[in-house]
Amino acid sequence: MRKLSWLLTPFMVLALGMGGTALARDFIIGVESIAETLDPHDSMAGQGFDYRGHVYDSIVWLDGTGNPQPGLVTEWKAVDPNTWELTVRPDVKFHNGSPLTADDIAFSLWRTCNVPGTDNPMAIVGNLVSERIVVSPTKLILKTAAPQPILMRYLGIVPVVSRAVGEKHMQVNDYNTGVASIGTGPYKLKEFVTGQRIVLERNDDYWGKKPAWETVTLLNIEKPESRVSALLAGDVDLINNVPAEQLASLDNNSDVRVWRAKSSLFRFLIMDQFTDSPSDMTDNDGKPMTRNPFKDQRVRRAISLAINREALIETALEGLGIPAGQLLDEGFSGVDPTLKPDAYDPKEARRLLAEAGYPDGFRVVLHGSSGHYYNAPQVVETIGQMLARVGIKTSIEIHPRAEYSRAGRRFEYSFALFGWGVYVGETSETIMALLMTNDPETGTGFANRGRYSNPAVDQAAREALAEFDPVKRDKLLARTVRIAMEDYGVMPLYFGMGVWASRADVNFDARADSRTLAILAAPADAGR
Amino acid sequence: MFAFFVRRLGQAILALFCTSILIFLAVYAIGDPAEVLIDPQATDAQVAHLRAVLGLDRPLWQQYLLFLERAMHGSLGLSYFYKVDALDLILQRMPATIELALTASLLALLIGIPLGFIAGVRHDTMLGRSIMGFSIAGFSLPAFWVGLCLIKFFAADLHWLPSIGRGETRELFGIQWSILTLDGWAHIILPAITLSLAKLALIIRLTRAGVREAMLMDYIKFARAKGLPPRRILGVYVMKNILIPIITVFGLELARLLTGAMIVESVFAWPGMGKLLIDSMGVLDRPILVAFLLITVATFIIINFIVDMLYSVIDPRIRLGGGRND
Repeated sequence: MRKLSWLLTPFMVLALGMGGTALARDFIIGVESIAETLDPHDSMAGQGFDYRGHVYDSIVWLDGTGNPQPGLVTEWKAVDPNTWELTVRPDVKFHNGSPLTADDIAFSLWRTCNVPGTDNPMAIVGNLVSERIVVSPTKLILKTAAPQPILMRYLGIVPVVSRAVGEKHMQVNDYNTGVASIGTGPYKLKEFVTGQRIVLERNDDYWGKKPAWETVTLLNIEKPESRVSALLAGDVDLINNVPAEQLASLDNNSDVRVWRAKSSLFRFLIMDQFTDSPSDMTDNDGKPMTRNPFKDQRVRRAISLAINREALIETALEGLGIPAGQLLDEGFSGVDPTLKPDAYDPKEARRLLAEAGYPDGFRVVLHGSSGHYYNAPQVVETIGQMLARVGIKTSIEIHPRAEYSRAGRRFEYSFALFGWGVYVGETSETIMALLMTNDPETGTGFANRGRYSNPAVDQAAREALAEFDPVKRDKLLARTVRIAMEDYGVMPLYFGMGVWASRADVNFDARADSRTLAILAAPADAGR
Repeated sequence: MFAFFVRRLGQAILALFCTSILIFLAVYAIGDPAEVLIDPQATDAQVAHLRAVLGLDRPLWQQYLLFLERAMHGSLGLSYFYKVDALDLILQRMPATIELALTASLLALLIGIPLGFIAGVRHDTMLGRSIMGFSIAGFSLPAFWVGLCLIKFFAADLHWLPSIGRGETRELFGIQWSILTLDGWAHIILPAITLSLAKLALIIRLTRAGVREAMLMDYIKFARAKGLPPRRILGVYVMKNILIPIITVFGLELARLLTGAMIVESVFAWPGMGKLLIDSMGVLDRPILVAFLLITVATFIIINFIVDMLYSVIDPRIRLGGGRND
């Protein structure tokens, strides 16, 4: 009812006027995709994380760089390396009026590993905890099988549901229909139309800061151009993932504001450092390699020096990226501030290649995927051209997403573009998944697609991962990162950027975790 | 008539059966849905677990038999992605697509036939030639571009019409329709125009060609000689004779609109079936793809059936039933 053709206007003046005042506190967000299901335990990150940030509170609140802040749990301490004691906020009520207790948190943690019909996306969190002991309605003890200093950060992404409701309605679809969608969060679920929209209304009894908007609609507008048009037409108040090619015109438009934030999305190349004769590499005559050039640190360094990261971001990403020299950008934990992205130096790259025994380079296939990471095909194309300039004749293969994930898991690519997003604001998980030796037994290196293995990294990582003291932990993680980066265990390329646009009268808190939440937006006049 | 009906039904069942096998094979050939559905950062154990949960770890023929068994009980399976019943989801999206396709088709018909008549009768005038010029543009302009232009002009610049989505709905026969509300019309008009453009061009050309051909026929000359008013000549004698090809094409095009409006739906974020299909293809959501294609095949069969029936109404010489009565 927001706009009608001028033909209808005479009949609708009254209704429009009334609608206008009622709409003042309505907030419509046009998003590239909305949560597929409303089961809060059926996704780890992305649009599911965005949705549940409205209806549910996490066990603790994470700030934009993943540091835990008091939330439903106000205090926590590790009484010994395997035991955590959590104090639950006493005055919190679920949307159905029942009070929150430690038992609901225990149930929510259990459910992360028990979502029927799914892969249990959050199992990685639930599996950290071996035992949940409810001492009193406000006291919860969590036991871990091994010391887990990172536990509280992970608890920051676990939404809390009510045990009474959740046990009665276990299925994913119970959350879609709304019967089970009872949280403690700032908004209540009003309507869900699969793949189209989620409508939320304000929880007036919210224990925290009172939400600014009376109703919030998350509207699925998949096409980037359509999202921008909808914003310009005034049909939505905020959009996410603004297309790069429209940024310039939006920046110059006084009706809208553009919000940018660097993100924790890390993009890198993997290099097979395991096999002796990689499948898709040959010498210049097309004969199979007798040894694997990627096993030589000088070759890996040469590749890094041959890539002009600034130019890559300019040409392939339309400027939406930040050159990366390590796993996370400054501002997060476990980062070495002295570690800078390699400067472009093709001359030195050629020298290193010659020194390693490849004065004329070699041939290699660089793999990328489509429909996965932002502009991935353009990124690998550009890198291929850059490498060709130092003698590494690179051909490009782009695969559909399904095939890409499968082949990556089976280590079928010797040279490929991959990405990693961080939920918890520190480098520990990235180190564990990407850089530690691949070991299906312990689960380390489970996303180490190049099967990089360096005992020094493993050793330093183990030390860091077990450290409880935040300051020491930060230093140990940073040290691990430095060892792995100087060895080019993976090849850091860039960090993605989050871009939003809103109406001029809206303030938006653009965070490094790229979340699109109504509680991060407020009327621009509210702060004055 | 009855034999005709039974034969059509047999063909329909065979077509549906073959489609389901084809789509099973096709999805299998493209890749493993579990790899797309799962978070790329998931562990191998999670992938294996998901594959087992969805039954993707079994041989393909077993998966297909399981599908057939469930289909006999009226379920085409749960969507892998949305985890709701695939058929329900498509049926929920169907009214939006039906009303968009019908509105667009009627626009094309109601504007196209008169314009085609003008272009046919006055083919050597300025007006006739402009209409033909317009129809060439209608053919050649890509729908997504036209859609974006309309959004930019009428929504973003003039603020007359909403840019995206479907308007308020009202219930009729237990289904939510947006063409019953003013807000609904404000929302539907731009996508409907976009969608109708190419069909409009087609109808204009068909009508024009038919009119020009019919005007040269002896019976028209006789009618003229008899002194019948031009309105009656055009409206009855010409019209009746050119209607068969128009209805044939209109039926086919309507079926195509119902099942292929995806680009326009995507541009206008119109919550129809086409958009659902695109999303589902991206994630290899097999239950949705199977259900969608079965519905597509069924739609074509039904509309063709209706078109065949209409033939015999318009031209009594045409008999259904395979010519035994001729």
